[in-house]
Amino acid sequence: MIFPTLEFALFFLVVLSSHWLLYRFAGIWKWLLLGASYFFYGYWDWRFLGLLAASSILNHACARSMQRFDGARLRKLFLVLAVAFNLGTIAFFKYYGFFVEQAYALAFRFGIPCSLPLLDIVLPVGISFFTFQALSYVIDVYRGVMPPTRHMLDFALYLSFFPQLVAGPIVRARDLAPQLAAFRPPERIDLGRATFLILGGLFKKTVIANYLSQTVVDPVFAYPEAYGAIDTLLAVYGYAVQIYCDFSAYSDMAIGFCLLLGIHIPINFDAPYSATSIQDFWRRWHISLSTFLRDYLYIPLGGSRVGAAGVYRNLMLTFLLGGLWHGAAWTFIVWGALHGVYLCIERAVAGRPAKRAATLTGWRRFGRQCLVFHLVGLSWIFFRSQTFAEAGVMLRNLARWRVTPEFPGTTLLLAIVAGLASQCLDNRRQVRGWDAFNRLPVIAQGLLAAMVLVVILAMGPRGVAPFIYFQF
Amino acid sequence: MKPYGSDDIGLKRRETNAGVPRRRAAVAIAIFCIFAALMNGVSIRDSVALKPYGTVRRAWLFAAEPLATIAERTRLPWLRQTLEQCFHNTD
Repeated sequence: MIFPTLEFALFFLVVLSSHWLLYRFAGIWKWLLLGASYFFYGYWDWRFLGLLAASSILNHACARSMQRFDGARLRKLFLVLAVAFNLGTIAFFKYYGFFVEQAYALAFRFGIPCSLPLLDIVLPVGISFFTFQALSYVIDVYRGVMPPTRHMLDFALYLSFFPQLVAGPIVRARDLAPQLAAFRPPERIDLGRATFLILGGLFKKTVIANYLSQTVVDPVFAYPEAYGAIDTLLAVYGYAVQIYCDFSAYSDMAIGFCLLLGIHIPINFDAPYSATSIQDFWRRWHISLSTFLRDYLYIPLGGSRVGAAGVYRNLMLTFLLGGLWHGAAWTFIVWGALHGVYLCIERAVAGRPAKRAATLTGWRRFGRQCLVFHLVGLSWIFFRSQTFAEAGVMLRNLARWRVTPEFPGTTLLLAIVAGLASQCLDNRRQVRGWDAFNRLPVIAQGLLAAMVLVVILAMGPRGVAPFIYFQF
Repeated sequence: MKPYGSDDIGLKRRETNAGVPRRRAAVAIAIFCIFAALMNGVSIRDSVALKPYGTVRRAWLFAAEPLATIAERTRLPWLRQTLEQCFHNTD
């Protein structure tokens, strides 16, 4: 079940009505939301409901045991057990095939016999997201940042909460679990913000992302040999905008649906393509992942409090693993490595790049934004390509200026600009619009939102492709 | 430590102050649903018919046969016309 479908609209209406009718009865309310979340997840493949349930039970049991036993070694043992289970699960479902392939390739090169079983493993949707959420919970409990939830049901609800279950944001347990454990309904619903987020997300996904994907990105990345420099550039720019519109749309809609349920989850994007340095980009792009990697990987490795060589090592390790998190392929690892290298160079050249770049104004600022956009765009070539050969053809194409372009440049540029302009919906940039919407008469609110919905549906192509981040 | 976006704490503060009362929000959502359903009538039928998303389509096709019988027998032209339009889209 994906957000921009009739099924989800009906499902959400039922959940929303039941939620506001039953929230006073905490027990029933929690089972209702848990049941809705499991239904939402099981709609794809009910077989993985067991995995979600097992993850809830084991992580909660480990967290409770960490609290129950005082001994440092015993607490560490339960932490190691939980971390091993979470990483083991993700390693098996997501990386087993990749590692076996690499082992075979290596064994073949050195002439060593290899007999690892090749399994056809189906990747459970959203496994990377809920596994990271579970990790944040057990690590925070171990560190004493938060106590474990009192009941298993509270943790199971946190882990499976449907709006952000399959494609994030990766919400920390300390931010979401207390809201679900003891729901305190807000007196006022920020309908303006929710409407902007949901309809804005729908526009970004169904109109811009789908158009760019179908028109230029998919054809060029499928047969890059057939295209020249202009078409390839359009495809790369198009993909940069498509992935932003696709992923931020999901996050925005998730936040909007949570707002309607009276639950607050943090933002995930903050106009990333207006970043003036790569460090700034990572403060604006997939914020919940970058802060997760910072707090649970980069800082424990020593962060910036070690010597220069140590900082570069930590940056590279963090981004290599960040790349691997996105998928089991060398292209993702190269994508992560590129960002690691960018950050190392920035640090070597500018010291604290984000702080310095923040002082830039006018054309110099715009120039830096263009540079960052192009560096990020270059890395997207590896992210989107299936193989290095494909990425190589894409890069070589950038020199083929004599080939006549095939795609409608003006329309595509308009869509790309519209996608970049849609960043104005991020964070607090439309706060006046939210307030203005909130002040409208109630009929005008309903009518206006419905009219915008009709326009979006009319503009979008038929059918809705799954979100890109579902595969991660 | 601020775990998320720099303005997020501002958004949390906003959460408690901004917005509309719950009942008013519920009425606005109900009005939205009614208008959206009315204005998207054809689109919803199209989406049911054309998008191969299992359950709803199966439910629609399951209901289609008795509805077709009603359409044939009814003496209300507007109902027949509406139902025929639905089947046309389903086909």
